[in-house]
Amino acid sequence: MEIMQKSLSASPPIARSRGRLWLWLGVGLFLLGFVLYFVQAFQFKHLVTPWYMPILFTLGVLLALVSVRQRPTWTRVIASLVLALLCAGEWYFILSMSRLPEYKGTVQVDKKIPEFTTTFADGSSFTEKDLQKGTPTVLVFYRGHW
Amino acid sequence: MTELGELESHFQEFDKRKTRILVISTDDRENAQKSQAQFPHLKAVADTDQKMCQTLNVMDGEDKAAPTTILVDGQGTVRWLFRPDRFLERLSSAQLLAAIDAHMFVTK
Repeated sequence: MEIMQKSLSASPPIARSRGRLWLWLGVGLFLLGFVLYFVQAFQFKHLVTPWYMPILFTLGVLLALVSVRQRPTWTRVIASLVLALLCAGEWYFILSMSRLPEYKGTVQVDKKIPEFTTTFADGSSFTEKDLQKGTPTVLVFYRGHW
Repeated sequence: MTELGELESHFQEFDKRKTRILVISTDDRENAQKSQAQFPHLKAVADTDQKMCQTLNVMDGEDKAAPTTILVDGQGTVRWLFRPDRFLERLSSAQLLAAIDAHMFVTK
């Protein structure tokens, strides 16, 4: 232990920091992905699939691996593993979890909308007959509060 | 909820087309009323018992409505239906207005 501490303190600062920049750049790419998504969704209200996120994350992992290759320390290895797990999770989320099935329901274009009954937020009744009173309507189904 | 804000901010464009926007979720009445208060130019529907969503087959397999947009003309006939590939995606207001112009007022 003493020898290890001596060798660490004896190693020149340049050797100890070698490759550290790559790791921080990798982490920075992850942060950039999150910031870009925040700006896209909440500033510009542009709701499209953020393909740039898993791509940036993948680049981030590669940079972290470069850092490990230049100086393999436990800290860098663990950081790279965490980034790799986040990256894999993001790819899985985008490619699989977020997919919606193609619509194969009862609603058909150029046909009357099927009969239904529900209520407006104020509690009043709403049925398909309310859509036949002359006012064109857009029905926007959304996921509601999360 | 971002999509509702987008729609609300373009309500004048929908008014020009004499088209109303109904926003439907399986939220309970309280949350639907909050949405209604937050987006007064949209009409919020609280499909709490999921009757409408199940009849029209727009459930996402769990207990939420899958993002789906349906244009219905004044006689109750469906003119257009849009379902994105991923639930992260939504129509922008510009895309929805273009769809209204292309499908809603076309005589068939």
